[in-house]
Amino acid sequence: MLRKTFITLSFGLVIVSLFSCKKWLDLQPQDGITGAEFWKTKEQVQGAVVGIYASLLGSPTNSRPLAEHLFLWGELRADMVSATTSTTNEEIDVINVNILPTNSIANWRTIYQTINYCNTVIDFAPGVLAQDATFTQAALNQYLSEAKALRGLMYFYLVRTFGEVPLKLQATSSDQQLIQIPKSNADTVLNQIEKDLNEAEANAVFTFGNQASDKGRITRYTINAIQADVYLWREKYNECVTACNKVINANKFGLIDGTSSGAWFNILYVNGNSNEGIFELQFDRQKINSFYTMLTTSRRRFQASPIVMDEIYTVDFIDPDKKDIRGDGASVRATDNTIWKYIGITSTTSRAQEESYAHWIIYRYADILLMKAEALNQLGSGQEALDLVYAVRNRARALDATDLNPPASDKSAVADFILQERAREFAFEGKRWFDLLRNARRNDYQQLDLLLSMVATTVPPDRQQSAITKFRDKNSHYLPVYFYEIQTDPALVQNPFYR
Amino acid sequence: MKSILSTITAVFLTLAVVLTFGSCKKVAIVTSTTDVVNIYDYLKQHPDQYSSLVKIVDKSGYAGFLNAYGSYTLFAPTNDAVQLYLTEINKTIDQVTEDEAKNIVKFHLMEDTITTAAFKDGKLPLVTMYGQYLITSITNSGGVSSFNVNRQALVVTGNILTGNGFIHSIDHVLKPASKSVAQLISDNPAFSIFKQALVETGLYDTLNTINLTNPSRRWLTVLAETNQALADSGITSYNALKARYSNTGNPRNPLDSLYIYVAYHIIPDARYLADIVSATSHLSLQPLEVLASSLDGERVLINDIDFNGVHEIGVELQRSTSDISATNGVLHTALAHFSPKVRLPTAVYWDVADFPEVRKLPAIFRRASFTFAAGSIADITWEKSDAPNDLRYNFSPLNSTNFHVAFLDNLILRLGATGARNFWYQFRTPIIVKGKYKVWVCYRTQKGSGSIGQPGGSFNPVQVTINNQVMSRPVTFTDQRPNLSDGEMEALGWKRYTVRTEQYMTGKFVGIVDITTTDRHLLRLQSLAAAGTGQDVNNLDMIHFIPVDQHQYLPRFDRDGTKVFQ
Repeated sequence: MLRKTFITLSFGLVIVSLFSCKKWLDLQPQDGITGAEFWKTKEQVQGAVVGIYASLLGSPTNSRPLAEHLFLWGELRADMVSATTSTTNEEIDVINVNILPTNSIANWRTIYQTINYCNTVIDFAPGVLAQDATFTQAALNQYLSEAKALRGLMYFYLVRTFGEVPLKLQATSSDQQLIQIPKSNADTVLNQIEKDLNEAEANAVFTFGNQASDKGRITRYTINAIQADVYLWREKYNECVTACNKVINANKFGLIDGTSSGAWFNILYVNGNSNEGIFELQFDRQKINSFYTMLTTSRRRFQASPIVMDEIYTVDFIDPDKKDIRGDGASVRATDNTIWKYIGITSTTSRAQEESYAHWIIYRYADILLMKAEALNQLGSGQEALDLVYAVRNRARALDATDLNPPASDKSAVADFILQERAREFAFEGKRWFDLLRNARRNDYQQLDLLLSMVATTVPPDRQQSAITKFRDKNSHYLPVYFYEIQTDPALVQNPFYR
Repeated sequence: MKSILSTITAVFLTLAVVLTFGSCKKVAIVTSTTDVVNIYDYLKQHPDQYSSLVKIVDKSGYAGFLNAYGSYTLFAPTNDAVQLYLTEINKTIDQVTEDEAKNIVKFHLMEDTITTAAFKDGKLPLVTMYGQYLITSITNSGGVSSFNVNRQALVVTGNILTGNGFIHSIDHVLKPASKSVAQLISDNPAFSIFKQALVETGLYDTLNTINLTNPSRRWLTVLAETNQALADSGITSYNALKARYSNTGNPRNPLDSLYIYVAYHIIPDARYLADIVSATSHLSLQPLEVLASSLDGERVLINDIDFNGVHEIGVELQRSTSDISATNGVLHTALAHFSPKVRLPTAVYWDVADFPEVRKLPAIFRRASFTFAAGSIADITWEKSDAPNDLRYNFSPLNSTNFHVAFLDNLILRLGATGARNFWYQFRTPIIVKGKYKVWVCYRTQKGSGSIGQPGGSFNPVQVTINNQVMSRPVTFTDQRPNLSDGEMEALGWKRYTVRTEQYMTGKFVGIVDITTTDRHLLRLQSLAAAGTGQDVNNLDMIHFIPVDQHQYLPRFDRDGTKVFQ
């Protein structure tokens, strides 16, 4: 009996082992997909492209999300945000023009991650044509245009923030490809951005057929908007006007009506993806942004600077009903200087934490109008420029106190007016510092005073003189290379201001 | 044979074993937790930069503690810097004496770790071991900005981390100040009148000594007036100055106005401009006289204040000729003449519901009610930061039949000694001139339970403190004033502060306060134990500071704030 059981058992074991041992030499990872398995079908290409967009919403490695980086880079060094008791030391150091290379706000990792995703698509997607017969050249070109446009946009943020950055155009897809590259100068990077955008423009679609994709993915209009911004930065005003006109003449965008300030706020900021939006980061209930803890409650890290209401929007003390719809109740809650744009669901009620998915708007139609105005003014068409500015102002019922009323022939007065109008229109949208810097550096830093007088008001009194003199050094307008990058890549040279 | 074989085998085996062990390479065992060297070793490791400094350190005898545990910051002059210095003093490095070497090292060394992030416009937070402050700033030359130490040296490389502190490499040797504040003033002919005033009042000697016995007089800051500044005010000579001020004829007398004038220009501490603008007021050497300071754009202003609704234009301290370090203090240059204002005590009728934050809200200010969260008002603070304890700004319209507060507004304080309500509120007053005042707390009586004027119900006595000085009588927000004549009421410590005759519009005398400095002061309301859990609504409308010798119950206030003198 016992023997029979033993034989049966052994027999059973042998049979089981025969079947189970088949894969014992298979070294494929169980929890991921290898390159050899990927890049076979058009669905995988689409997945990779969508992955780029996903990386814009939050970094997979838990470093600071992109939108927060753009907020910090675009606002901290400018004059519209001020610190609270909960602001971190690193953030205060940036506000105080006291940045050291160890400051993690200067860590560009998040942006290069997205750039690497773009590079991966650009390197590998063409190979899928041979693998998947249903994948067409047209579809490939469209995906490539999205990847190139996003790569251009990311480099544009980098070059404006760091001045000079390493230009990495090939994917890092294996350990053998870890190479150490030096920084490229700003012109090389900007030329590459223009090249990417031009290549992308030809193949980009005009529409994806639905509103969310049109605002959340790269269309040809998005590319035109980025181009306009790049040309404006490079002082190529004719090209900038041309790029803006492509968006304007499409007749697909407009300013959201401001007759009812509540409806305007709701359509443009609370819901997002409005007729005015061109490219917005699509936060939603599944992927909320990081602004809730940053801007609400008593633990908020930032609040609006007092000058936002006092000087930028101003208050009509005689008739409180007359107000700039972009000011109190939209950009800011004047009673306690809360930055309201990403927090409010109406002018008075705030979002709950799980509702904190206000889109981060990268470009919208008002931006196109004001970029065009800025370029036209530089080209000598002051009146046309002013017409555009007043179109934006009238939509928002801007107060008379903020109307500088510059003569159309006075180029620098019109430029100042446009700069101030941009502060009102794009408050806390991550544009203020870049606007100031662009105007300051125009014609070989002709208007450096813009930055000097700005910083005199933002730093504490006992650091004022230091900050002003630091800003006289052009290199100080750009962030340092993060110390970790310098340690790991000996080819990188630190910005001389931070040595 | 067999035994020989086995012996040979044994020998070989033993040899093999011995050889194996012997040939084993010695494993490099790391015995230290870090290979970061200390300051002195760092200098020795970089002779191309610091060999001269090492020689000086060796000579000073401080090499030992520079290599011991601790936390130091060393400003390390490079070889070129030391060479420049030696050329200047016309010595070779071997001719530097031990004392000189000691002083050089001491002046470049601080006993704490300080990175460039702590460099501000003024002095570093602590003195060097030499005993003088170092000041920092930024210099821009040829478009390149770099840190400047003591206006003498630029930082070449900052924040070099060593085992016992930071090294900042600098391109010049730092030289300590050798003159006292008095000598600095006397060296500059532009200060000749002011200098003579110093001499005549005897304060010149105070400024010419390093007072080591009285630490509060160790450092002195002088805001010196140039001859030009005095001339602008019509004073062209010392005699003119003396004629204008000296009332006793003896400027050495501390009660003489000329002495007071000079003492008012001295602050007993090392206050660089950055320190001056970081605080709003500074006590001068003249007892109880305050210098107000502010920053207007980039200009540093003294006594630029709003007083009784009038703006008084301040005096600028010239940045380029200020912040001059001396052995015993700092010298600044004032661009205009200023002196302590003789102000007679003036009544302050303080509408507590009028503060800058609410004025910025035109839709609210004297138009609607609003709630302010803790921390959103600069000059009013309170104990608890939860929402129910937020400060309520209450508006009551002109046609209100039972709420006749002045200026149409008041603050609603939520006070109680125990439980969930605020234990205290603290206010910063408007500027009050020094003198003796009667303090009146004016409120609209309200009782959470029970009826006003009847015994029982809510009871909420509150203690008033001004600059930590407790007022003799409490104010009870649940009590109304008695219905008596003005004279009788004043005798009992009550007054009718509005034109309305309702008894619940109450002014309560809380005591006499001796305000010693003309400045803004701290007023605190704190529940007394008898209040228990207190009540939610305590309507504070105004606080009056009325000089003891002035009329106490007039003027009264109308709803719109007009003063009525009957």
